[in-house]
Amino acid sequence: MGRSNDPNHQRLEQLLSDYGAKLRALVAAHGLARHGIDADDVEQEVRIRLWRAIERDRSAAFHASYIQRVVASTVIDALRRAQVRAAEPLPEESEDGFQPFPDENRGPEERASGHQHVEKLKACLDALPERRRLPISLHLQGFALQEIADLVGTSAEAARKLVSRGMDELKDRLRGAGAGDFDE
Amino acid sequence: MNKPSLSQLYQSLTSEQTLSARALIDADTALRAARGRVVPHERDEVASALAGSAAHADLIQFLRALEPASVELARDLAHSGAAHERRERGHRAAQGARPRRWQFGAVAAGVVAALALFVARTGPTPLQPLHEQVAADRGDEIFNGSLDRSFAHQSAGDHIFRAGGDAAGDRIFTPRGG
Repeated sequence: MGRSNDPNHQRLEQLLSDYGAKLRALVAAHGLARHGIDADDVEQEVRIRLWRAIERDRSAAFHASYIQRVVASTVIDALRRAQVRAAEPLPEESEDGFQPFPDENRGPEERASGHQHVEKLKACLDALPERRRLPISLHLQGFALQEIADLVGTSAEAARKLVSRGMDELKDRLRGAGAGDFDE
Repeated sequence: MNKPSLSQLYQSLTSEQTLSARALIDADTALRAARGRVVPHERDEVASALAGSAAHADLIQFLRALEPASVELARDLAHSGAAHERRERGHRAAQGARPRRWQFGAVAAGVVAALALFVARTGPTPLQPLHEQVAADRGDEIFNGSLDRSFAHQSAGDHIFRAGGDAAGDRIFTPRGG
């Protein structure tokens, strides 16, 4: 009986296919594409690595942490490759090249304005006290309060206060620097 | 007009830093961070890496979001692996039953052959049938008996000869009339 007709093989293929679809959707949803990560490549690589592990021992129990580790390694490898590609000099401005401001519809004035905003934000963040700067930076990266608390080693309530007061201070500083008002 | 988003602005800023020489955190550290279990001595380094690099931050959030799907896959693979193991075991048992019958037959034949060889080399045993022993003893008796009988015949002859010759003969040849 061929492997493609083997019900166990088909079942494993289906499981990995379903997982791959979720993985691909989450790669896209979490903006990894803007770092040069191709969701299809990551899915393919993860499926190959998991399939090899399963082939080595069909009866082995795979913990979720092992699967997560395979995914993490694959994405980190892809990020490294993307960094190497981005560091290589391009002959001219390319669509595949990294763009810190990915809004393609913006004109030169808007780009210049955006660049000024970024510089002012950087300056205002640097002016914040160290104990507030890290929680605010994590907040701006999209981490939730509990995640920030876990990362900086404090309680969720303390993280909430640090973020709340820090954001107020940051907005005040930006306003004072003439950058105007911002949403979070 | 919408106000610009500080988060988007900040992530644009830290996306540029991804291209710097900053080393990416390794997979194990990323997984610990995704579970909120950063080791205390690496806390500052990890938090700074996530705060300063949008790629790191996106990776951690992606891993956290993927965790339920990985748990589900691990569970399904465990069920699939257990089912595979059961099938394999059943298959092995079905294949093993037939050779086992042959094994029993071969062992029995070997025992019989060894017993036959042993009997052939050691001769009669206490278990040998009684009639075989009787037959062997009788052979010796027949031989001895025939010798005894011929000897007895000779003795009798001598006796007759002597009796006839010495006594009776003498008596016969003793004059009747005289």
